[in-house]
Amino acid sequence: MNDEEFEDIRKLMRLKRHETPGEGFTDSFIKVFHRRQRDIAQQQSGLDRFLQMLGDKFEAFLNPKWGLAAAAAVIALVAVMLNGFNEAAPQPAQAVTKVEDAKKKAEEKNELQNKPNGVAIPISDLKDSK
Amino acid sequence: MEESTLSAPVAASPVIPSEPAPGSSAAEDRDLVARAQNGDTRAFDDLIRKYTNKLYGLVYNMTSNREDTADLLQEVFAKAYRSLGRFLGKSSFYTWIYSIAVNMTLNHIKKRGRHMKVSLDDVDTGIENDPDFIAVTTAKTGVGREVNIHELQKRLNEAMMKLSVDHRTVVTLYDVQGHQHAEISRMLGVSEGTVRSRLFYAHRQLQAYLEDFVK
Repeated sequence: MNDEEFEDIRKLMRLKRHETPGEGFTDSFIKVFHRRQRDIAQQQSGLDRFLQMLGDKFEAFLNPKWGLAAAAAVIALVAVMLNGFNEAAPQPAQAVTKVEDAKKKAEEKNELQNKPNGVAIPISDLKDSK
Repeated sequence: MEESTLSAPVAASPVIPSEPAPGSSAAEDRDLVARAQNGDTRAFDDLIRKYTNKLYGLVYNMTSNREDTADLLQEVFAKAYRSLGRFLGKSSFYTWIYSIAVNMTLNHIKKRGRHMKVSLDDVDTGIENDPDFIAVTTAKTGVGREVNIHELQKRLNEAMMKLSVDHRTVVTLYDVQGHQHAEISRMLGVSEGTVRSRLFYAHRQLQAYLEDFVK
């Protein structure tokens, strides 16, 4: 469909094959290639070469697909870390419950101590001693 | 030729045969790649010699700038040389180096943005005997018409530069260079359907831009 419908356009575009750099381009290109590689080898320190190699190796990860995957992984990691942090630190509601539990225990203890032979301790004293 | 002064890339593993490279000898490429991976820098020179013209056409037709093309091509081969040790042969060398060239050219075009300048190559004299040129210069009425080659070249390049970079890429690979849809799909990492769809819209736009030549 496409090829037949646009055959005239395709003929025109094929004419661009006649735009060429001219004879001798390849030989001079190879000479320039060798010169550049030699210059690079002389200029680059070992660290530069390592970084260049590393850059080449990880270039695939610059693909948007990999970038999104990496971003998703970082978000997931941060979410897990935050979740762990929240579990470790007592929430305000939990802190209140703990104070109330302590009060209850103190009251129970007080009741026990109000029984015969026991010495009563005022709750306020317990609070102050905390 | 200048004596080879390159240090040899280190091979990661032997090259595994893969799909053939149409229009070139895949077996010859595998041999040259294996030799280059083992330190034979002359073998890499042979690969450069084999692919320079094809890759030049690719980059030139995407950029319409001969100076940028020569520089970019140096970078393409330099990158291929550095990465050759890690080339495992999962695709043919031909597809692999084309992918490098396409990606580097796309990055270059994106960086340059609207600051791209046109600088055209000469048109070789063979164009006058090209059946496509004769067809273009012969009106459908059978009466020959005058077509100035330089004017035609200018118009074709202007039309190409009006296309989006994705459309320009598929037109270059399919119409100008004659690659098949499947090959283009592998080079660009997109489906064949996407290649066909891009070609359809690109052709439609070109037909509008070059209306007076195709009537």
